Amino acid sequence: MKLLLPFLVVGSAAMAQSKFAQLDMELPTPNEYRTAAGAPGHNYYQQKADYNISIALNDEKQTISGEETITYTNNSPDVLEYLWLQLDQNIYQPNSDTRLIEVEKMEDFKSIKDVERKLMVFEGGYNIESVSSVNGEKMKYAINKTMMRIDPSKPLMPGQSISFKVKWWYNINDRMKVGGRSGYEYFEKDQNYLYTIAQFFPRMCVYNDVEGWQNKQFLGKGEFTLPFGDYQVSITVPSDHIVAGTGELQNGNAVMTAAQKERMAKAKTANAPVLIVTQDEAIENEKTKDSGTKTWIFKAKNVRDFAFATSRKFMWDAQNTVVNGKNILCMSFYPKEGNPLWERYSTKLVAHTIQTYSKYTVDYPYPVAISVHANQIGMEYPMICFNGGRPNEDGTYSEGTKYGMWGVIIHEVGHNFFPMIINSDERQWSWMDEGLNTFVQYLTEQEWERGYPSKRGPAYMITDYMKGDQQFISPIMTNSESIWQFGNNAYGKPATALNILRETVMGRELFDYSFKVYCERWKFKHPTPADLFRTMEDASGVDLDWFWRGWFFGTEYVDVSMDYVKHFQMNTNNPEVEKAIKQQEDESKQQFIGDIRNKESIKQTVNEKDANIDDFYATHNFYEVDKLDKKDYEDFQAKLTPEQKALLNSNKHFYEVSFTNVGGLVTPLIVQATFTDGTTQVIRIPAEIWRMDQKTVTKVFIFDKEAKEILFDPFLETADCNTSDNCYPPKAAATRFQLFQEKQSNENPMQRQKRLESGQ
Amino acid sequence: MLEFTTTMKSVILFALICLSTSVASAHEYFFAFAEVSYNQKDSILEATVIASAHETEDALNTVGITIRELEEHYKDSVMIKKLEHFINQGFSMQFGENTAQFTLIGFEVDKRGMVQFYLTSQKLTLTNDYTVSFGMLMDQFPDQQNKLIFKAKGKDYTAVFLPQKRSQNLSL
Repeated sequence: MKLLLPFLVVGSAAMAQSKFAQLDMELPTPNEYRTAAGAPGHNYYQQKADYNISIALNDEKQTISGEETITYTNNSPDVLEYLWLQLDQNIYQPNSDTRLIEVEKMEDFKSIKDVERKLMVFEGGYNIESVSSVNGEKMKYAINKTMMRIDPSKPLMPGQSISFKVKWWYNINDRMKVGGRSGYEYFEKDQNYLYTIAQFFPRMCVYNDVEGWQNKQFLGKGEFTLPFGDYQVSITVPSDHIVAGTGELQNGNAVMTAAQKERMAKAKTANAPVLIVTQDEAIENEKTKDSGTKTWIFKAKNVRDFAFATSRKFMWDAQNTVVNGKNILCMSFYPKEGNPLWERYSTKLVAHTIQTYSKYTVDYPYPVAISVHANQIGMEYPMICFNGGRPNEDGTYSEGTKYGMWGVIIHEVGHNFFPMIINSDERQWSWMDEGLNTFVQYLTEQEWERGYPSKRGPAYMITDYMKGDQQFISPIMTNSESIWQFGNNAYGKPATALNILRETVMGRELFDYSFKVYCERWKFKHPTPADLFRTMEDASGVDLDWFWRGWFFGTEYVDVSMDYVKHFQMNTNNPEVEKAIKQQEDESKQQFIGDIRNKESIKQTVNEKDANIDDFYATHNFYEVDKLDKKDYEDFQAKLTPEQKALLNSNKHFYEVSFTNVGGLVTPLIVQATFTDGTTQVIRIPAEIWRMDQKTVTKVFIFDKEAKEILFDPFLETADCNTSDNCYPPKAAATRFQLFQEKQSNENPMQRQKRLESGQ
Repeated sequence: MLEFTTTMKSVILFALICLSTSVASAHEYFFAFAEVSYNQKDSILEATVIASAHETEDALNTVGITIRELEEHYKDSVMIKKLEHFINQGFSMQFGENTAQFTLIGFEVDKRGMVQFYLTSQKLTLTNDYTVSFGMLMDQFPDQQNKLIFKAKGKDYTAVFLPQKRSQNLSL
């Protein structure tokens, strides 16, 4: 037994290392909350957090204060001794962990500006004024950086609810100087502010069967995860402000003008944007500052968060879009600085995104969807998102700015689905919302404009990131805060992986069905990576463990080299054919240099001089077909069935091709043969061809015609990182460096057109 | 110019960037890529450096090169020289005693918002051991990571560069 043990260990390690081993060790054991099929289990539960919030904005001091009543319902089978809330604003405290954990060198202090920046203190973070019961009794609480623990007087039992109040205020960050996903932008020319406010109130953490309390500190990258609930939020702002918020406006009669209400009524049935506040009106509005206030009231059901934007600079437009018979009001809010791009495109992009995502995921369930212009960022919240894309001051813009604006709006509106509805844990797994969202963003962009230059999604676009040195590449399955190359890792690679599943591994029909099943199963719930992995397999009948293992748990890359191609044809046994071929082959063989020169230098050999030298072997024509050859062939033919004779005469071409897996990541083999007549044939081989030998495999392709070229990955769908060894006969791969046509202009095309039209 | 008493003299950078990019935006790119090949016939390096155009514009503005959109400067010889200097500051290859001085022969911004800078070096001889520094955009974006693919002697060599590891000694 002792002797056997080492072998068992080695055998087990070998199994574990197999690229086709099932993910038994990597995934959590299925249970009553989450099934082995990837669906919510029969005892799945989730908590509920309802909020009633009143807030006031101080436009003079750029502060915000609020009081909230939270009603928290414990649907878990567990007794909760304490409750955890998230205090995201504390990331701006001068001594926050976010700042402390920044790796620094003296190189970062090159200039007085650098030092100024490093020493700059923004007094951010929450000032918690009180935590109390609804009766006003103080409650015990403790703040741990970006988390707050509240200790109820008695434990919260399963099925029970508790209501309590939190009162707070904080300084709003200048987003253009301090940074941040929310904050304000100051417009010096008209001395106005545009506020995009989010993560602004203490919010309940998720408690579930996977993490218990998800109270991992907020460090900046891993965004957040929140329980669903119903919200009522009253926002008091200067009376000349326009406010956009998560949910439906409850008191439009009180805060909108008659003209605005009339226009809104039109917009609710319009299939193109209708201006509720025009540019002229917004420009007029930003010239003065009202001293009074108005309170805008919003209600939102079954959402996981609330955000809003407010400014006296806002233009506002809206249109309707219908998803499965349900009207959805799509809206945009933007300052004049966003035009002409925003008025023309934003709301149409919102409507298009809602439509396309609903097709591929779940029907959009909310009554409104809003895009707000916030320079230089893109950030998402339920029903509302903040998006960059600002033209030049002269109203022109480059194509890059236009596509950048389109892309960010599609992406951020798309986040309504991941993670606002399909509510994965961003604090743990950024890729689960960013990657899935970037994938559907790609599909949505391609339906907006044919050939849309998507930044991420197609397989060939990830190769620069994946190939080569693996030292600073993280597996996708890495916690949000510890990822090398965040953008490529959490956005690009998972989006590419899903594209490869859809186009190459599963096919569109199986993929689309399974992906939709995942979305339907987990809408308004908290899915984990295992739930996605298991559902995609379970609903499709495709074993994808090798794919998840390679693409999500590893850092290897696809690089398949085509090592050799050998061409064969069947021997007909017909001496007339075979002997002629043999003669032709022998005569066309390469000649040795000595033989060539000897023809000249040796005037006459001995056997040429002496006729008695040459015997039978020297004089017999072995290429000549004799009677015995013919007899043998007749005997051979007599043994064949008619089908075998037809096969023998079919003139088929056999190509043995050898492939080596250089990059390590196994992949389906897609091979295209181009024949001498110019026609082509594509063969698709599943990745399981590598199941026994993950380094080198050979395959024989049988064609009716002779191939002049055999090409691996002809449609750039595998993310192969080195295409220079994908072709027989070999082709030289071009590098990016090339002569390119110098641009003839110092202005963008719109500026040139303006100059043309003005006759300059 | 600010000087520290220890050793370092440095150029002044006008940084108006955020306190920390990790809280600045949910959707960053922060990845520059250089593909360099050695042209055996002419004994020069041919390089393409690719980065996000907007991030490059932001970085240029922070170092005092006022620019709105790169597309407006395709034929602007003054700007091309400034860009060339900016790139050479952030990307260098040294073979023995010889440091490649890259000349910017042109650039273009594609619809995806990526700028591609096309560069050539002076004549130089490859040595087996060489040093690459690729800290471009790292002063401006603490999360920036860059990657090099060097095609020489029939092989591809890759290296990744981080803000804490801007230079690497490499071997062919």
